[in-house]
Amino acid sequence: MARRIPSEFEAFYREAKDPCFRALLATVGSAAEADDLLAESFTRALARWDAVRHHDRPEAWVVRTALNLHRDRWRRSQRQQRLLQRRESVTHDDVVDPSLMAAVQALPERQREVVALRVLLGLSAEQTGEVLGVDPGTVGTHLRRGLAALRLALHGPAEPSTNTTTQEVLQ
Amino acid sequence: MNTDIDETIIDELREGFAPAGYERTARSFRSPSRTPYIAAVAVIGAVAATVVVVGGDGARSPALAWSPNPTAATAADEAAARAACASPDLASQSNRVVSVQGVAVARPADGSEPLPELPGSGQPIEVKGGDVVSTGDAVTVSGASGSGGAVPAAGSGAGSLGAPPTELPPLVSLDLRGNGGLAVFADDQWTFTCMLLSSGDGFETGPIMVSPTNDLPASDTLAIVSGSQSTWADGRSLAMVSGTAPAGATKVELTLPGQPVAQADVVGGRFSIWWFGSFDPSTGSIRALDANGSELATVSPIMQK
Repeated sequence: MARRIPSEFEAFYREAKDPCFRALLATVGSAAEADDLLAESFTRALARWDAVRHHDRPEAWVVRTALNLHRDRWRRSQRQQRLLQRRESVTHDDVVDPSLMAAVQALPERQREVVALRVLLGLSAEQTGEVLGVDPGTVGTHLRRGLAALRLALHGPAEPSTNTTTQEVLQ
Repeated sequence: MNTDIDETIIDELREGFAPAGYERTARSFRSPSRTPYIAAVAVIGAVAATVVVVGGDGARSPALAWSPNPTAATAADEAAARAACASPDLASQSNRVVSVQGVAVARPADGSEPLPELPGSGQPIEVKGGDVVSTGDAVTVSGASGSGGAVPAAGSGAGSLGAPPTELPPLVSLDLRGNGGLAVFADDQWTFTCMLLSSGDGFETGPIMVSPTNDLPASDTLAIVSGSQSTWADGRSLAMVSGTAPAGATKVELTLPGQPVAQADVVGGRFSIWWFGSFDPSTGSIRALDANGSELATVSPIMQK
């Protein structure tokens, strides 16, 4: 029996692959790692497409799977960690300005994940909370702190001038 | 919170990451930088010998064809391979897969072909639709024909590991050549070896073998870590090996008596290759080549003990 890639999945893939990649790149800090994770998570999404397609944001499923894979990797043996480290020398991370990437990578992990999911993948606070297993209020806190840290790292201290929230800016 | 500043940061983030498109790095699927998730099947000299008696539905499938040089697998190929190997329709594809102590056999769902006898005995594991369940029926096995490799000792296989996962582990390697493919999925505990036949935009699934995994060689080493032999639905013998290659290797070259020299791509330090014929690990040679075609390492015979 032939196994064809559903056209609906192909359309989803075309739309979602770049935002998913950017979110993962910001989170893991390595293009090769993001590439690897995304390949695996998209293949899993395809294998479960009948279920994943009904997800409110299938790309959230893809990224959540990729992040879980990423965490699993770092729980593996020292040997495999050495392999990961060796691979870092051949990544293609220069597509993003090094100062921006450095600022993002300097964020605490959870802030980095929230910024990536909210800003680069465009998930709502609720959807981000679902991916990360935290409540939306916590997502908002991490987002505000993350953006503030980025602002400080990239532009130095700034004078507050309005009361508009980050949530409103993203909307 | 300063709106202007927040907008600036958000815009900077979006614009800064905008050039990072997935297509830009799609080629890295075939680069040596891809990290294997795996632990592999067995070390040299303790290679799991596998006999598969049936693959695919030969009455309706196109003939499986082979070529000495591989076809680079794309992300879509990898996705299609995973989808096929995890197909919920597996049980209806006239395949039934059973693993016994690291030795896997497949047979038609209707049971028309008897299980081969292989060394040892243990708890068979049945794979249906990507779900693996213990059948509870003991299978006695003996005589892995043509393998020459040692079968893992009793207790090293399924019985001591518990049931294999109900979903495929990460893809380790995908060897595409002719109109066939060999996909190896593995994690620290289990290795799924899946034979594929190209069909339209996807694949038909041939035999899927399930076996326990052991450690990879400690460092970058040219080594074949698993080997198996099977029979395709048309009666032709199939052999397949999977292994590791040293850093810098982009291809391996396999030379076997009476066989055309075949090459396989190395991705993330791993390779796999299948061919028509028998699998005798006491013969032949395998070379690891860098991008310039220079030899990095060689092993002869292909499985030294």
